[in-house]
Amino acid sequence: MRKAEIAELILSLFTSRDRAASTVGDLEENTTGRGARWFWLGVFRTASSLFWSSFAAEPLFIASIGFRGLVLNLSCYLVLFICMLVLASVFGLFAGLHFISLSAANSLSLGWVFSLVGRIAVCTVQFQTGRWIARRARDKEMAACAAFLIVQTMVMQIMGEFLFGGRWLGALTSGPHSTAAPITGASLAIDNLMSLIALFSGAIWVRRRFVNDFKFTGI
Amino acid sequence: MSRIPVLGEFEQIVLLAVLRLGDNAYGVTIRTEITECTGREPAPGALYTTLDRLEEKGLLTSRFGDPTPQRGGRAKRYFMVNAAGVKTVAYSQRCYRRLLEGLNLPGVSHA
Repeated sequence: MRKAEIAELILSLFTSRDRAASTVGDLEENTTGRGARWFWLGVFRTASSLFWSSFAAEPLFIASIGFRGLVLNLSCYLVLFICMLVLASVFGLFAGLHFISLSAANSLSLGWVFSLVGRIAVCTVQFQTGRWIARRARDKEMAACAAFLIVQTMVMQIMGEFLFGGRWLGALTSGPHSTAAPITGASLAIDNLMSLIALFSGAIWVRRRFVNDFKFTGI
Repeated sequence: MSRIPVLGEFEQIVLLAVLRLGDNAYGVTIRTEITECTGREPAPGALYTTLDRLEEKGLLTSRFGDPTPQRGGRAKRYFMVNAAGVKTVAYSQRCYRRLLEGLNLPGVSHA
């Protein structure tokens, strides 16, 4: 049954594969006469309970991984920012020396290229951060990633509001944006979503030993 | 003298349900037993996390049965209360009885 495989996949992010399978079997047995809505409610309530119990079992350990992950993440963003600055300076130098012509069309294209490269780089940093966190989380990967996100949001808010007036916050959390590509609310939301997906993908990549055996039939 | 772990209310309920069910204690039957005895249906998430926690505390052991076609080829996870679990729940129940002495609560006998 396809829905059971998906449910097993979800639960195996929070517990071992055998336990996830057994729990899904129990929920299926209980679903008789209750419908799919009850089944999925059971799956998500179980997943959220397992997720929360990971936090509650070792809160200091999870929080420390979140903090250390943030230090690594910010260091990577700093290096990335310096590289983008150098690249922009080189382009500026070339334009100043008339090696390349900076017409309006060229500027727009360069802006989009920078923006794309920046987004790819940010996603790569988030993916690697997710992997780093998961390797240290000892079977509590999702809770550790969530702790990292909470710590990151808090620190970025503080930095943005009290140190940089909010303008650098978008650049640090969402990736460099070209001035030729105006920052819109939708664009920022998409960037944040991509960062989130990249972070959890990195964590799931490390945890894939639990999910590798799944064979989806025509999903 | 080794310390006896402290049990929460729901942990005691789960242990007692597993004891009552004997060899047939797995997620579905434990949930049904608790519902019948207490009148409250426990949330699946609360039940499974409590079972995991009790196993980590060393009060329960679990084993996987054979996969069954009725469950889509998924095995049942059977639970058993071990000696430490019996000792712990018995201690908790003795504490409750000592606290009940001298009280006249409706529906509660002191036999």
